[in-house]
Amino acid sequence: SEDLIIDADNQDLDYKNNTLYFSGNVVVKQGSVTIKADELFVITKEGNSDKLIAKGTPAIFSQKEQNNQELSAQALEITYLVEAQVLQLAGSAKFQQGGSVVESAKIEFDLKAQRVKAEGDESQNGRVTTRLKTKKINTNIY
Amino acid sequence: MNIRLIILLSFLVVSFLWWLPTLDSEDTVNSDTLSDLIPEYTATFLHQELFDKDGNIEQQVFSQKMEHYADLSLTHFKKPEFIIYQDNKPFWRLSAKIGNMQDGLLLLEESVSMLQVSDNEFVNSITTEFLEINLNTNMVTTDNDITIQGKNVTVQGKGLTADLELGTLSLVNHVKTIIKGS
Repeated sequence: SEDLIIDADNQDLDYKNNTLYFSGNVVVKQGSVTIKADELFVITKEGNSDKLIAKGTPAIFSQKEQNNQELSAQALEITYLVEAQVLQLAGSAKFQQGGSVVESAKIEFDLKAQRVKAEGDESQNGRVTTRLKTKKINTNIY
Repeated sequence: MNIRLIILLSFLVVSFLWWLPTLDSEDTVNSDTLSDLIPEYTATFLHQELFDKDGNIEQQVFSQKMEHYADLSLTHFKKPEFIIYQDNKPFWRLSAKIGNMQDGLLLLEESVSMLQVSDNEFVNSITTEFLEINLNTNMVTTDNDITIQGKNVTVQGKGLTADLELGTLSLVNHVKTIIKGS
């Protein structure tokens, strides 16, 4: 995976538990991925970044894809499993890709497989809302 | 005309006489501070080991030159190296061009570096130009630019507070952190 570059106002590093905590205007960049949040926890494994937990109102994840389309996601808490390339959104989760929108309490997106899994809960009476963009059909009446 | 001249002359004489004593006192003041600068004792190529009340080694000090000033209870080191122990193992090696120790506070200046001598890979070194270490509480602080380097982590910022007991480093003016990809 590519380097993670993190900008933030404050940072706390715990070298006994190998964790990093950032707060204040947190911006994370990794190749085409950008995460913006108020707080960020970085849990490392054997010195490599293993899991990022971003919190915000909301925290925002965006990725520019090869075909120049932008994938974006937002939630109160975004967990990014760096190695597995999996995104877990929790709390007012919203996922947008190429005009299609999924809104739910929880959403999981596999960046490699490009697969979305959404899970509702009582707060939205257990429902998942999906809006798919369809092609416009021109019907000319003569 | 004469009277004016006499008054001027007498004014000059009086002020000259007034100024004379201050000349001596300045000398005495200088002589006091000079005696302060003469160290009680000095040592070259110092190696010192400090133990806690249970006999466990707490700290080692190496220094090219050391001067101790009893009146100021100040010890001055040239090219000092301090090894701080935790759980009976050497944990941090601190070095700099200049060191001053007073009342349990160690001030390190110029090319200051803190190297981890344990096997912790997350943080290997901390480098800056000034560090203050409270050797009683193991708290480290600086307002200077700082770089923290680990096997895969590089952190840059300005100002640091480190608690060596807890193993935490806090930057209030954080600039950038880079975590190398795997």
